Amino acid sequence: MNGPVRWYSAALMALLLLAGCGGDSTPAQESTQQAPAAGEPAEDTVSTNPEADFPAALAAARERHQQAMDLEFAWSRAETLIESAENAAAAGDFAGALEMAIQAEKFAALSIEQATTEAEAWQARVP
Amino acid sequence: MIGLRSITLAVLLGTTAVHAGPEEDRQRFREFYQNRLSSIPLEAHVDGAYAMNAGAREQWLEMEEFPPYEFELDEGQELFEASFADGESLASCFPEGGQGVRQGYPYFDEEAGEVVTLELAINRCREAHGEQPLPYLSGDLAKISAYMAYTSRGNVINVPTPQSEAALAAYESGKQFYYSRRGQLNFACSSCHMQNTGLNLRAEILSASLGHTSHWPVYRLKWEELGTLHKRFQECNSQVGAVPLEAQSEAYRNLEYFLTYMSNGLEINGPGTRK
Ligand code: HEC
Repeated sequence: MNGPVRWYSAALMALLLLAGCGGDSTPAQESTQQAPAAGEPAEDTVSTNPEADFPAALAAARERHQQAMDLEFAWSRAETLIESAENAAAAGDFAGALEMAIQAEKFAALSIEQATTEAEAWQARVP
Repeated sequence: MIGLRSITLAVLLGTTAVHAGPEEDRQRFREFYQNRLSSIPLEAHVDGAYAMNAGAREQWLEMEEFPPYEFELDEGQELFEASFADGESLASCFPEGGQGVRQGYPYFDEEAGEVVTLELAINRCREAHGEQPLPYLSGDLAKISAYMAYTSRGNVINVPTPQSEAALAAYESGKQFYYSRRGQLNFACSSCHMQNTGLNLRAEILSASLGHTSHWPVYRLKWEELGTLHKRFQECNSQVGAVPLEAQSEAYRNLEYFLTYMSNGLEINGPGTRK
C-alpha cells in the first residue's frame, strides 16, 4: 500500500516543481480530486441500507483519524471527508455520507501507514 | 547486485548519521548546503529565498528600507516595557533584562524537562505575574518577540548543545520530525528545503533550512502582519495535506530546537519581511 502513496507523491512533486502552476493555492489541493490510492482493490460492495450502515462507518473513520492525530501524522483530507460525511448525513444523503465515511477511513489508514513507515524511513534522509 | 549493495551501504551510512551527535549533525547540515548551493555563502541563508535570486533580493531590500513591521515593532517595545498589574515587567524574567537574548532560545530546561522557546518564556513570565497568556500565532506576542529579536540583531545564534539524555531525546525528536514525510503529498521538511532547495515551487524559491529560524517573527505580505515561526510550521504542514499541530506543542518546540541548533553560528536578523 505504500507503493501507490510513494509513486503518487513522486509524480505530484515532479508536477509541482516543474509545472510551477502559479497562484497561491496549496499543493494539497492538487490531490484532493484523486482516489486515495490508485490501484487499490475495488470499492467495497454497495450498501443496501446506507442509513443503517453510516453510523458504524463514521465511527470507524473517526477512530482511525484520531489514531493518526495521536501519532501527529493525520491528513487533512480525512478530516474534511469526515466533516462532509456528517453534513451529508445531516442533509439526508446517506448514500453519499456512507461513501465519504469509507473514503475518510481509507485516508486515515494511509496516514497511519505513513507514520509506521516513517518511524524508520526518515533516518535515510539525514545527510 | 552492485545496486543492491550500494543501497545497503546507503542505508548503513544513513543509520550512522542518525546516531551522530548534534554537533556532527550540524557540520553535515552545513556541508550539505555548501555542496548543494556552493555559490551562496552559508551566512547568507539567514535571508532565506532572497539569498538565492538577485532580482527578488533587490525588491526585498527596497521593502526593508521602510519595513512593514515597523509599527508593530514599536508596539512590541511598548508592550515589553509595560508594567504588569503587580508592578513588574517582562524584563524581570529574562537575563540582561531581556535585551539582546534572542540567540539563546530555544533551550532545553533541565528542571522542567522540556524545550523553552522565547514565546513560551514570554507567556510563562506573564502568567507568573498574574497576567493572561497571549495567543501564539500573531498579535501582541509576535510584537514582543519581534522587539526582543530586534535588540539581538547581529548576535550569533548559540543554542546550547544537549547535555542530558532528556535534552538529547528532545533534539532527536525534532530531528525525526524534520526528516519524516507527512501529509497526503508525503513530503518531509527536508523534501522541500534540502532535496529541492534553490528550485522553484510555483512562484516561490525553496529556501535552505540553514538560517530558517534567524529572522522570526516575520511580517509576511500574505499575512499582512507579523507572525511567529510556529505559524510558518503550520503552513508548511498544511500545504502537504497534513493536519498542522498546535503552536508551541511539544513537537513544534522540539522541531524548533533541532532547526535552531543547525543554525548555531549564524546571526540573528529578526524581525524579517517575506512575501
Ligand atoms: C511542499 C514543500 C514544503 C515543505 C514540505 C515544507 N516547506 Fe517550508 N516552505 C515552503 C515554501 C514554498 C516556503 C516559502 C518560500 C521559502 O522561503 O522557502 C517555505 C518557507 C518556510 C520557512 C520560512 C523561510 C523564511 O525564510 O522565512 C520555514 C521556516 C519553513 N518553510 C520551515 C519548514 C519546516 C520546518 C517544514 C517541515 C515541517 C517545511 N518547511 C516543509 C515549502 C515547503
